[in-house]
Amino acid sequence: MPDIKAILEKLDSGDQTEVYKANLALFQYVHELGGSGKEEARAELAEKLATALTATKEQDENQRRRNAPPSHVHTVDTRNRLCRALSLLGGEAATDALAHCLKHFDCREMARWALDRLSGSASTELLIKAATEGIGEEFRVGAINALAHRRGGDVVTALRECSSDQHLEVRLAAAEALANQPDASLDVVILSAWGNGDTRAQKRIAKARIRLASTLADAGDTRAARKIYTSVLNGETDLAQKHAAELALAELA
Amino acid sequence: MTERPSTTRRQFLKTSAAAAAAPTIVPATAFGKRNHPAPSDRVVVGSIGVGDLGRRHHLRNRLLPNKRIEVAAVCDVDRNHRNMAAQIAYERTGRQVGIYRDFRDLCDRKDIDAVLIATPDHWHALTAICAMEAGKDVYCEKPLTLTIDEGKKMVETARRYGTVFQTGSQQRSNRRFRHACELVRNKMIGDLVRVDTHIGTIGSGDWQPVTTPPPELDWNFWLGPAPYADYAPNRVHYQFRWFSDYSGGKMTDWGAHHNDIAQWGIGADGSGPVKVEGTGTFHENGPHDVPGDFDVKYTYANGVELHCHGAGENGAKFTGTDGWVFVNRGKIECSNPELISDEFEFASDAVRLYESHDHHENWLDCIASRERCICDVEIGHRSCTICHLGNIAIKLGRELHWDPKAEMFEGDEQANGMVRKPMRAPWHV
Repeated sequence: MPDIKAILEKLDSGDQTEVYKANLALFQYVHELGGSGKEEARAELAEKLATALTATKEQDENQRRRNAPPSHVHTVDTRNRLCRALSLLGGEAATDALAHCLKHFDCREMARWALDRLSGSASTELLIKAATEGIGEEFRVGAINALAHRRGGDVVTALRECSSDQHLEVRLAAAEALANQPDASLDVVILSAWGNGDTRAQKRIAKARIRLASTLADAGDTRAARKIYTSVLNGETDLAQKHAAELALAELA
Repeated sequence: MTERPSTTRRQFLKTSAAAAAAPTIVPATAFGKRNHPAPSDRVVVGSIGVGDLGRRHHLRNRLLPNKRIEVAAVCDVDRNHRNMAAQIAYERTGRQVGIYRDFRDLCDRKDIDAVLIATPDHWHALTAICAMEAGKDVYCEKPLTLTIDEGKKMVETARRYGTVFQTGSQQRSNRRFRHACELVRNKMIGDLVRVDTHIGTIGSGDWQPVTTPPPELDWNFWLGPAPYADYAPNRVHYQFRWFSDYSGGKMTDWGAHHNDIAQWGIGADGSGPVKVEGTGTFHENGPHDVPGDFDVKYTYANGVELHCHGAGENGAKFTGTDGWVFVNRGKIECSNPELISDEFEFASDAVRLYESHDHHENWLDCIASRERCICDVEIGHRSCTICHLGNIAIKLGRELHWDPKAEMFEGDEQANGMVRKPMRAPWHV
């Protein structure tokens, strides 16, 4: 194993060349450990990186009195790089550390990014929490976009909840994510996500319906798919969606 | 493969009552000029990404001089680029074009039939999918994608919307490359054993201090789906190719040409290799973080090997049991010179490949006929996949097994994690 402490020091240095070299060394090792039979070493590295990612500085008396949040040992740039490295290592230590990062505005986006790449229920749970309880529209949209690649009851429940959110962008992202779920009952949910949106929002809903129908057709539910395509074809929407519906109906015929 | 759409988009527009309300550009050439196509045959094009390649090559040399095209709009996140492009269009045609910073606004225009995309690579999938979902036909520069998953999504979308899609791997529209592939496909060099492609190396580049982006550039928009990075002049415009958050280096930049030809000659369009392993060098001091030089070996299910190299004479060499043929943009050479002489003719029952003599014209022809282009989206996606597989194999340094049907690695979770790259919010495909 390379000297992780030395790598972290270089990553924190701010010197472009040193940071590049340290990053290269770190990721070469991360990639090397990705193969089968290296699970133990992979977990050990993930543990070390996770510890570094969450490490905070000792607070002095003044900071404690002010109830100031502890500051991290490593720079934001270093922590972002560690998030990316952990996204290729996985494991419990990685998700725990990324969960910690989700609470910190300075690197939560890269933590979300890393969770998006990870598979498994622990990362899904964290993304659901970020999507439903996260602070900030764009951050929540990112979490919803990540959930769009996952399936399961918990995911659908969370996305349904987001589809009736007060923020239009959150609702639309949820509608688009739901379009990947092979569940015909979601058509109504997707339609309702529009709310009082503008024309572009209306188009996004129509596109999501086309995609839902396609997901259903791929899953074998051609009847439900046909129903949605027919509804789009006969409804008020842009011509591109109607054309897509017509093409799909011809193929299903 | 999906069958040809039952109706064309144009037919659909014509038969739709709603189409009557849509605004239409009626080009000046519609009124009685000779040798000009009828207005119904003119394709109204929006040009997305008008930096060096998009503006100089596509807009100035290919779109504006073409009588079958009406350029209606230009789009770029760099104000200088979009204004220069609009000026070139005005000087050439005497007409003002729409000028856009946001490609979504351009795609909202109902009068635009098609878009030409020449953005940096990390924007190809997002802009192309947006355009396809808005009913536009697409010409998208190579390399088609930043990740394999993006390519899958682009193919799905193109089929869903009946899009005519041309990938900008224009060597397919060159007679010399087609001839080389036809020699291979007709076993004129015997059974194909091996293909070698040489696609170039890159230098290390120099570090530049991070600085405030110039006022004309919307840096956050330029980054788009890529992780946030501070601006430095050498991250943008041509140089973006050497940063892995935006592109795949030489492997994708030129691999999308010669590995595309390799796929054509092998007859693997719509498929790919089953095994890949490779080595590469990374520059010791940066800033470029893509492989500088490399050797990647791909094995196809029929045993044919593709060896993709950085160094060496640029081109593709096919080696068979009875001879070889080498081709690049300047020449074609063969172990049997008769096969490449002017007198040579294929037998009447020989395998002949899709023939196109001009990549842009082929796109326009297909927009009219609704046939697939010579470098359709799936071909572009599969050729780009070869390049991505190479970069992943170099990074991971181990033999990888690829399932070209499922488009997944077998038994390697870390490698599969690289098939898709998460996008920075709010972007997604």
